[in-house]
Amino acid sequence: MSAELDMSQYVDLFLQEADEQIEILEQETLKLEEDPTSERLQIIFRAAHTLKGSSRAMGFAGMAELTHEMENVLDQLREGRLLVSTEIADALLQCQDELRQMVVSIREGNGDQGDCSALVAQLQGFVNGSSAPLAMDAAPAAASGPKEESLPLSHELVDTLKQAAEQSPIRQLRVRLNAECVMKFARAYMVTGVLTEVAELLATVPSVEDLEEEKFSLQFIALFQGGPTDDELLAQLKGISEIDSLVLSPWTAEATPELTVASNEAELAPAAPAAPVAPAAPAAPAAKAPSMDANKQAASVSGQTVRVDVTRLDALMNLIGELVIDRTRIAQIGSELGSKFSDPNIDALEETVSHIARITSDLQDQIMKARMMPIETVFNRFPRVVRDLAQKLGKDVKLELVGGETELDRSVIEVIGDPLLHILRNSVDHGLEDPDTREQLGKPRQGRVLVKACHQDNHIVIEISDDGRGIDAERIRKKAVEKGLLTKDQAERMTEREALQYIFSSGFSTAAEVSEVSGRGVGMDIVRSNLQRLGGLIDLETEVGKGSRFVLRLPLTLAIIRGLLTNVGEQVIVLPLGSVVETLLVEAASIQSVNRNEVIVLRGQTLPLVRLNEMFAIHSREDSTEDGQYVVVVGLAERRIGLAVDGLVGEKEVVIKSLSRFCGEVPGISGATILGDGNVALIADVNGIVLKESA
Amino acid sequence: MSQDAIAGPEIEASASQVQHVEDRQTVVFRLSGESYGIEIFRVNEIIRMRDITPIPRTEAHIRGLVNLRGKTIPVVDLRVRMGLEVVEETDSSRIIVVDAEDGQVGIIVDAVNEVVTLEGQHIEPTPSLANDDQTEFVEAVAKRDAELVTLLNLDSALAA
Repeated sequence: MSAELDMSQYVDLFLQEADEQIEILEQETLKLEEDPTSERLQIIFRAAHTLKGSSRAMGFAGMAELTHEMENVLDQLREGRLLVSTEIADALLQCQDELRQMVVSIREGNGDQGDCSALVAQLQGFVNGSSAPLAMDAAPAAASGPKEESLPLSHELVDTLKQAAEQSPIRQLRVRLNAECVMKFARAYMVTGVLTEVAELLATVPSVEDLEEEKFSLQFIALFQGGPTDDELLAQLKGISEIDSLVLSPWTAEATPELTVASNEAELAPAAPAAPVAPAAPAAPAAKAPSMDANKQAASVSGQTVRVDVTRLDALMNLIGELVIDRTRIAQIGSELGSKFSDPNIDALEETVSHIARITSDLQDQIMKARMMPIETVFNRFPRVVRDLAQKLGKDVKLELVGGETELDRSVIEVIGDPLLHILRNSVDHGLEDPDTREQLGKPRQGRVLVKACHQDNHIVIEISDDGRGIDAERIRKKAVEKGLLTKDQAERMTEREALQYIFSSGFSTAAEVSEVSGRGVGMDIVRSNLQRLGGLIDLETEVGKGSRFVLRLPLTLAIIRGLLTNVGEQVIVLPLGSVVETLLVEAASIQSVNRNEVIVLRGQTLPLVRLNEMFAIHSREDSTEDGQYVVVVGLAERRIGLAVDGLVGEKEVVIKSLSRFCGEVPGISGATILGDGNVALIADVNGIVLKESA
Repeated sequence: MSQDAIAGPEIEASASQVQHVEDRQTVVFRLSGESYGIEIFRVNEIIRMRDITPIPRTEAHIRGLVNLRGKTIPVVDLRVRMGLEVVEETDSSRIIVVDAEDGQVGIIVDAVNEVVTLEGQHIEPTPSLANDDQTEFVEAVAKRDAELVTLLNLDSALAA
C-alpha cells in the first residue's frame, strides 16, 4: 500500500523528466541530420540512456526496451560504426513519438501501453547491419597502402599558419578515406568534429565548406593546434570507420610528413587512451584545460535551476501586492504620527518605509523576470513540424530560427504557439513552391523559411518570412469578389495593402486545392482574432514571386502591462500604453459633431471621440472640462479614435487581474488591477472600443 | 436483501415527512434590520468595509471590486437584489467573503452578529405563501430565541 503510494509520487517526477528528455531527443535528432557531431550524438545517447534508466526503475518494461534499442543504435552512431541517415533519423523520431504516447498513457494511469516491436526490430536491423561492414572495413584498408595526393596550401593560409605557429606548434592530420566510402562529408565531419572537440582546428585543405559539399576526392588535411598526444588522438580517430589511413605530423612551412600510421597500425595503438598525458606535448594539457573548465561551468550553471509551479509565482505576485498595500498604510500611519508628535523614531520609520518600498519594487521585478521564458520553448516545436510537412509535400525546406533566446512572459508563450504554427504551416504549404518549380524559376531548390524574434520597446516582434511565391493581391481581389465579400467596384478601388487584409477574413483561402495541411480557409481569421485578443497586431508584406513576410507584434506579458492612468470622475481607468498613440489637451470648441457623433480633427484626420465617462456612466467632476478636454488618441492597426478623459495621472506598470466570471462580460472593460494605494482600478478594453467605435 | 431494497425508499420518505433537519453552524448577520444566516462552511472570511471600485454596465446589485490581499473580488449588495431598503454604511458594516460557483464573492452586510448552532428542530423550510422577491433566495427559516433567522440559499442569491 505504502509502496504504491510512493510510486505514484515518483510517477509525476518520472513523467516530468521523461517529457524533458524526449524533448531533448527530438530537438537533437532533428539537428542531427544536418550536423552529425559527436557531441550531439552524445547528448542524444545520454537522453535515451536516462530514459532507459528511469523507465526501468519505474517498471515500465516496454519503454525500457525501446530506449535500450535506441541506445544501441545511438552507441553505434557515436562510435562511428553507423552513419546518420534519413532512415535512422526517421526511426529515431518514430521512437520519440512512441515514447510520447507511452508517456501519455502512463499519465492517464494505463502504464506504458503500445506495441513497439516493429520499431525495435527496425532498430535492431540497423545495429546488426552495421557490424558486417565494420568487419570488412579493416581488411581492404590494410591491403591498399596509403597513396598520397598533393594538396597544395594557398599562400594566405601558409602565412596565417606561420603566424599561428609562433604561439604553439601546429600539427597536421592527413586523412585518406576508403574508396567505397558513401558519405565522405560525414566522415570528414566526424574527423573535424573530433579535432574541434579536443584541439583547436585551424584549417582544412580543402576548406571546411568544400568538405561539406564533398568537393574532394578521398584525401584531406586538417591543421590544428594543441590537443592530446599523437597516440591518443589517433586512438580517438580510429573509431571512425571507412578511413584508410591517418597520418599525423608536425606542420612546418615546408610540410614534410614525419609520422605515418596506416589505419591497421592505428588500430594497434593503445586502446585505452587513459594513459597519462605525455610530457612530449606540453601545449596539449594547457590548451585542453580551459575548455574542460568551461564545460564544467556550463554544466553547473544549468544545474542551478529549480522547477516552480506558475501558480506559486502568481501567489508570490499577489503577496507582494499585499505588501505594497501595507507599506502604503504604514507610510500613512507614519505621516499621521509625524503630524501629531515629534520623535526621531518617526523619522526613522519614514526612512525604513522608503527602504521597504524599494525592496518591494525590486521583488516585483524579480518575480516578473522569473516568469519570463525564452521563446525557444515555442520554436522547438517547429523543426519537427516543418520536417514532417516538407516530407509529406515533397518540398525541400530550410527552416531558420533566429532569436530563440528572446524572453517573454509565459502567459504569452502559452497562447502564441498555435498562431505561429499556423502561419508557418501556411508558409510551407502555400508559400513555398516545390523544388522543380523553384528550379524553373531560377531559385535554389531548397526553400527557406525564417522565423525571427526580437524585442522592440515593450513588445516582442516575431517575423515569419519565406522566399516562396508570395501572395498575389489580384487573386485576393478576385476571390473576395467571388466570395461576395466585396463588390467588383470596391475590389478595384482597393489598395494592394487593403486587399491583402482579406486573407485574414474568415472563409478565405486562395489555395487552389484544399490540402490536408491548410487551405480550408479557417485559420488566418482565427490567428488574427487570437492575436488581437492578446493586444497584438499582425501585418503582412508580400511580393509576388519573392515571398511573404508576416510580422506579429505582441506584448511581452499578459500579466503586466504598462498603462496610462487616467481620471474619469472619481475613478482611475487604465489604458494599455501599447494602444496609446498620443495624448492631447483640446479646446472644447474644437470638438465637432458629425451625425450627432462627436469628432475631433487631428492633423487633417477626423477621429471619432468617445467620452469614457458616458461610456462607463461615471459622473465627471464639474470643473474638469473647463481648461479644455483631455483626449487620449488610441489605435488598433490603422484605426484611430480619441478617448475623452477628465485627467491624466501618469504611466505605471500594472498587474492585470481578470474580472471575476461572476461579473460576466463587461463591454469596454478587459480587467482590473490594484494600484499602489491598494485601490482597485479598471483596465479599459481599448482594442474592443476601437473596433466597435470605428466600425 | 430484496426486502431491504424495497423498504429503503419508504424509510426515506417517512424521514422527510418528519422533516428531520440537522443542526447547522450558521453565521448570523443583519441586512436592513433583519437577521439572516449563511452556513459557516460557505464563509471564507469576514472583512471590514473598504473602497469598492464600481464596474460600469453591470447589474445593479454588483457593487464593484475590492482588493482582497492582492486579489480583486466582486462584491454584491444582496439588499438591492432582494429589494430591501439600502441602509447607510456604518462602522459595523462588513463584507462576508463566500465561495461561489464563479470564485470568491463578497457580500455586504450591515453587521455580523455571531456564529451560532441552529438546532435542526427549529429550522423550517420557507413558507410558500410569502410571494415576494425574497423567497427564491431563501432556503429556510430558523427560530432562535424570540428571533427569526432567514437562512439564505447562497447559490440562487448569487446566481446571475
